[in-house]
Amino acid sequence: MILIVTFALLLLFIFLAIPVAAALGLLGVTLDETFSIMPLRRAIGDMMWENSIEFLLVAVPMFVMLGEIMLRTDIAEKMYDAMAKWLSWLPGGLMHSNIGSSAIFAATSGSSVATAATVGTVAVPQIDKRGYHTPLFLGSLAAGGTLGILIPPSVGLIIYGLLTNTSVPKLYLAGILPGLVLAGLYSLTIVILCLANKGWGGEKVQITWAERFASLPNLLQPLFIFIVVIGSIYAGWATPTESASLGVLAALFLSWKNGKLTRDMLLKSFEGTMRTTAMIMLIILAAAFLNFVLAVIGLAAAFQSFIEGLGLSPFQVLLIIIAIYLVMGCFMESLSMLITTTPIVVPVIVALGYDPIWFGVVLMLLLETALITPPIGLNLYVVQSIRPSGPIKDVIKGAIPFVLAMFVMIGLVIAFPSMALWLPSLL
Amino acid sequence: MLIRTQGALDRVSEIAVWVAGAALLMTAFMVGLEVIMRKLFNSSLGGADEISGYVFAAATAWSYAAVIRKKGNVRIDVVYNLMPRPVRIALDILSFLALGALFALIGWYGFEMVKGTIETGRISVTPLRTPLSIPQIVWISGIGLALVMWGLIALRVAGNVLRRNWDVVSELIGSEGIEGEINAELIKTEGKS
Repeated sequence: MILIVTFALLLLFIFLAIPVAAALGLLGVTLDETFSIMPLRRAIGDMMWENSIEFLLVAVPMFVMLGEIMLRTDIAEKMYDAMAKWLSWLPGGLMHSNIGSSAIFAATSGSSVATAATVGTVAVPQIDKRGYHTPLFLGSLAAGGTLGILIPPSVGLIIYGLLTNTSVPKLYLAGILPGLVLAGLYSLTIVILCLANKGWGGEKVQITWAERFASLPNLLQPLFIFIVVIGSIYAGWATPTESASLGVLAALFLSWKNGKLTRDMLLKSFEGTMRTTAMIMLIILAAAFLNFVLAVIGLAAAFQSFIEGLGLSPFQVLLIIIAIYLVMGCFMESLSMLITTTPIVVPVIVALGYDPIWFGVVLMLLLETALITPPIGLNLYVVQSIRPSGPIKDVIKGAIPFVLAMFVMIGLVIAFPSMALWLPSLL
Repeated sequence: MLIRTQGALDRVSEIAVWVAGAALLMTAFMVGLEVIMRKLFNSSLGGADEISGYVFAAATAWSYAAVIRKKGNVRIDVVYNLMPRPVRIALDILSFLALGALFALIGWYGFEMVKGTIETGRISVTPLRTPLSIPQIVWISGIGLALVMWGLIALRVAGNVLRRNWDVVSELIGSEGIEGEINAELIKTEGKS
């Protein structure tokens, strides 16, 4: 009963286009009124406060600010140029540079949308210049951008870590290998398609080894950020939140060094940071209250016994959950999906005997898929809006092969959990 | 009159956002210093994590007004976009009321909590022994600003509904949806060059 009411109300609120945060909060109050013995909403004040000062969550605004500063620091152009020199000999040319640049940018940024926007802006003008197959080129940008939340640092993994009480440093390590393999699968997809279709790969550019080595210093700046943010964690110097703060300082230093540090640039970065942070935090606060109500009225337990009552094997349940995420991902924005579903789904997954760190990686892959599946795939729209003209159909069509690559990747992580779990086990 | 008040309030919320961002950047410096001192000199400022938590709470709370004004809250508009305009406007009003209810809820129970903190003189259970009323008052004032912003927009919406100025209503509370989010991202990339 509780189960049906909850899901029906949530779906109703969401499809009425009520802001996600308000939908979660009001659902919490409604369930509290209807099912709870004592009014839980009296605890709202304390709960909001405790979550608002949570040190782990301070990492969220720090990563957003890091990205905001990086966007305005001129790093992307140089990085793209270097990747182009090293990767464009492959069939598919600059499309591999799209993937490579995205993977590197993902290693300095915690967000997928920012990754797609940054690399996309640099890459799109190349389509006509070199005669690439437009849909595939655009698809590679949308898909490459999704690497942002899988390759550490990642805002998604931090929020998952907080919601499930799992170690963020372990989650970061778990994301690295699957992230690199996924980037490899994207490149493989491009190679196969370009070998099968003559003319998709654009014209070839001759590059000498001297030019290649000369371009390497362009990669030093992103490498510097990566070492500061990720290195400081595993050297045992800093916690994830502290490392994010160090990343902000490192980005600030680079923008000063590149002559981009101005008052105007800082104010714009602050604006972008606070807008995104406030939006995310409002959803997190509302979700925290809802989760508390759900726990008290026993929804998680109800969901668990419902799943057990189905009499399916753990593997079948996992497949069903993945299928639900894939469908949901077509309609829901990925961050809202992460925050709303994690507290309900992960206890079930753990009870079935799966590793929560491993599932964090699977979940990130599912969220990445959600970012490029129509009709609501944020990265599709980001890439579309960077183009001067042309229908969105191009981007959607071009993203399909990469969605298939993601399916393969999800399959690989399920078949070989050690892909995700090997690195964390060394910690 | 309302429009002039709106202009003033917009300015306040804009400055609040800048101050919030600057405060967070200061926090990054404080945390950075803490890490360096701990590693190199084996000593600690102490309480850097606690203070950054307070700054984070206050900075976020003071930014909510700007998010309400700029319609920055995520709405899932798959079905919404299929609806005719009158239905969309009705949904916009419903959404805006729901958002107000959420802030009212946070504001009301938050206020109760802060009142309790002040009455009992609660202090944090940390080495800093912070009197919690100080960060909590800053925090709840930010929520207050968000409620004032919501109230002002609500008045303007009500006035324009009565005058049947549907365009203005849409502009004030209509869904920006995907378009809005993309534009925000693009403004960023443009700002870069």
